[in-house]
Amino acid sequence: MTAPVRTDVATVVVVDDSPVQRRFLRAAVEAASDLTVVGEARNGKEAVALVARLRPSAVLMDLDLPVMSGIEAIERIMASSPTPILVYSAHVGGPESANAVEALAAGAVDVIAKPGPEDTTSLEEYADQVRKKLRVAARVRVITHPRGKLRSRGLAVPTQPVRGATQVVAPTPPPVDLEARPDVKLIVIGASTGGPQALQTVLKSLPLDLPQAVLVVQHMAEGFIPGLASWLDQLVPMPVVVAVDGGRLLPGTVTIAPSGYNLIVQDDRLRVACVPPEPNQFHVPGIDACMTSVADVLGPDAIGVLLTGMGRDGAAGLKAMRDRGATTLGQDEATSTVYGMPAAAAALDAVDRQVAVDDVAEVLLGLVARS
Amino acid sequence: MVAEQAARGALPEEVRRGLREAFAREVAARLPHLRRPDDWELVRHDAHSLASSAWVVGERDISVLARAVEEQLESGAEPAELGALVAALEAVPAP
Repeated sequence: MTAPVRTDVATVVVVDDSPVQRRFLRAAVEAASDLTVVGEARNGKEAVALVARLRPSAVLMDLDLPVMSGIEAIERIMASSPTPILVYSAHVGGPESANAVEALAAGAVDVIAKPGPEDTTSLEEYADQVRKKLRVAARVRVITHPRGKLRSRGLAVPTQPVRGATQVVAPTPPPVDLEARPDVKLIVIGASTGGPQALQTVLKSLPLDLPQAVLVVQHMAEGFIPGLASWLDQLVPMPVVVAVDGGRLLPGTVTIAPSGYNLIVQDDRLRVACVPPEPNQFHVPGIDACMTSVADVLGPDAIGVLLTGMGRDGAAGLKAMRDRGATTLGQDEATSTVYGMPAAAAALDAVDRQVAVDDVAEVLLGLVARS
Repeated sequence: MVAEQAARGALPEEVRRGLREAFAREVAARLPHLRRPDDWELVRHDAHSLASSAWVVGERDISVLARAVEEQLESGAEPAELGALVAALEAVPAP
């Protein structure tokens, strides 16, 4: 007799070439009754085949894999059998930090830092973090990822640096339903799950001579923000930097909120402060905290954009911006990896216009263009 | 709920014993590359894996040495700690 299939249990494939890690992760996952490991792969190639065959709820994957790298495996899985992938990565400050961001851009939904010799985390605490992240990942509805499709067809993936390239940006008329805002000083963008790829899509089409400053708040595990900044800096026209406490946001520069703090815009000269998060604040840096500060100090002289992400952080902040006269955009459902935050914003009547991610930059340029 | 409470507690001893046995097998499998390194990328990968595996079984000294070797190779430096890492791994009881 076949046991009844439990639909409330998330199935997981673990990918690591270390038998110790696989055994530990299996024990960590299966200590909870709502998670179970249905398969183990020792390299990227095995992972691609196993995920296609088992169609698990989620994949837990190391990046440093033999035979086929974790990045390539993610691209192939997202092209052929889209599945939420939680990456665990050993280095948050080293080269693997950039790899982790690359993994997110390739379609992984989240990343967790793998503890190492310098960590004070206990084995049990780490196991608990893995379970929590897996539960969230397993609920994400993922879509076929364009980068994987490009590679599977043997086409080049556009990742070349564009800094210094002459960009001729024709004045774009503002969307008919939005008022032109040429005096805007700041564009603030919030993003979470699926954000790195969406950010790349938006920022690559904003020119080096953009008169506005761009501020990005991306939910990301502690330590990975410098990797995100470094990765984006190679791919988009404007320089990309991580904010420092007391610094100023500059026109033609993308500034990313750092890990561990809320980034607050203090005045209309765009000075910023890094402030401690609220007790029990789930997402740090918080998008709501940042956008609310922008609403307070800039009012209508800002544009708010809320991109893909799980949960509702940013919805209240975007609403505050709209209530103070700012123009606000939300990513549409069809192009969102997770239509959570933009949906929450739309439900609050915080969004002037919902926009496909490929069109966000064009809409922004139309809004800020001088006639 | 009961399972989740158990999950937050210490890993069962049988799991820990299994992890130590798996670690001994992993050490035995990787030691030959590390004793006679002829492919530095393979050595870096072995060190990368051992740094995390050793952390899981509480072998902090091995974890530190393995991470040092990995970082030295990533930076293009001579893996000065490789000899010490091999010596520490040879002290791990055979599976």
